[in-house]
Amino acid sequence: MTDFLKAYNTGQQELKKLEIIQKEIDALFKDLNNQLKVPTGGRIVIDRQLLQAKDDSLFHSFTESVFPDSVKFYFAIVASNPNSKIHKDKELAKWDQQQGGYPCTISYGSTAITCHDLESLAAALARLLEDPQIAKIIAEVKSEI
Amino acid sequence: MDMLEIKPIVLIWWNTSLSPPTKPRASEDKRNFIKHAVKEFFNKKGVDILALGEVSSLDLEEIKDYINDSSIILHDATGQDKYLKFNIGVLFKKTRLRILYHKSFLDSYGKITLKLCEYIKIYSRDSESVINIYVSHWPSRLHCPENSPKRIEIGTALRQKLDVIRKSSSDPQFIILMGDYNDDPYSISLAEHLLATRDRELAQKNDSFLYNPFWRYLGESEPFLHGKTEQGICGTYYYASGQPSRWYTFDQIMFSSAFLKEGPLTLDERYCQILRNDYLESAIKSSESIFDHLPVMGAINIRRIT
Repeated sequence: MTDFLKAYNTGQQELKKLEIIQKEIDALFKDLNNQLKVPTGGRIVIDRQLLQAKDDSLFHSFTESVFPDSVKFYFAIVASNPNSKIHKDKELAKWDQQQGGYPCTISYGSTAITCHDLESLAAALARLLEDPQIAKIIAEVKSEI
Repeated sequence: MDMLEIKPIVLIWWNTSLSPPTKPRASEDKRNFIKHAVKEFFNKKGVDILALGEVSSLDLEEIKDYINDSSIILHDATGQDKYLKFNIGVLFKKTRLRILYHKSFLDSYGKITLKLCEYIKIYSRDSESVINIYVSHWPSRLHCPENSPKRIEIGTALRQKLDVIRKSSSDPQFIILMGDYNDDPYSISLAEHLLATRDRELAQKNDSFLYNPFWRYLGESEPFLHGKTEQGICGTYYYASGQPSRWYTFDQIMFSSAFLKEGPLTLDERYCQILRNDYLESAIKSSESIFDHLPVMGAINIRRIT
């Protein structure tokens, strides 16, 4: 007889593991923002956000108005300035976490880094902040009034 | 319904050793040899996609200037960020192919970051199809030994990248992998994790597999017959202190199952071969020379319905 109870328990344990991973990733972003808070005067927050895919084609505008379900979304790492009146999220990188845990992929410029654990994710986020193009976007967001 | 045959798309991969990661840049005469050979690839072999390894931006610019052909464009994927050095460049015939998208894929765990590949999505004007190309130069066995778990990780991670492309459409996707894997076709990373098989029928039936024609280049190029055997090769890379062989087939080109089916693009395996040259063969065996790899070639036939 198939042991469904065992399968159920395995599933629940896996779910708990995913919840722990999600919490540690959330804590990593919290730590990043805490470190930036004082030096940026609280003008920069970096987090994951669901964005709408850009497609400026006339056809897409038409289909979007007729079939709203055709609108596509994706997750991105964004920078925002909570003190700004604009308060608009600016995309820094694409964020892909298909399995709900690891691996997760950060994609920006001509690079995509797939991270398999917290340590590599922390390093990849640091690498992202070091990129001059990303630094430029963050500086623009920080200077928003 | 007839199928019109057009000139095949010819691909070449070559680890040039022009700018190796831990050694000084090649001398002028060595650079001149490579430049001349590359020009010959375009003029005599009719190459359309030429991927080069162990090159710098300076090398690529010199090569492009020497070729002096406005129909060729350069995709420079070299450069050094704070953490990793990239040393791949690709020359394309822009009259036949257009670059749609490109990305450097890295795989990271703990403190380790591995270079998986340079991904280039191209559009073939003749076949009106998209081809996904993954050019790799995996870590050397000096820094990452044959049985290192890193090699398994890199094979699995690259296969996962291919899976994303495969799942993006219900149609079979045209995928080509080329490069210096620093692993032989039978290595676990390539055969069991990347799923690059020697079994053509299996690859044809199951889209998860890649077909690797370079399995056939593991052995001696010429059969032995006393007194009549010419000097042969048995691989693409020569390492004088190698055990139990001095030859390795590290340079390979692999194809997705879409190339083995009825479609606008089909593999022409007759042209999947190691490119030999007397000067280069003697150079790679010489301890004085910087060269240690032979180029490899592949070809795709284009079939258009008339």
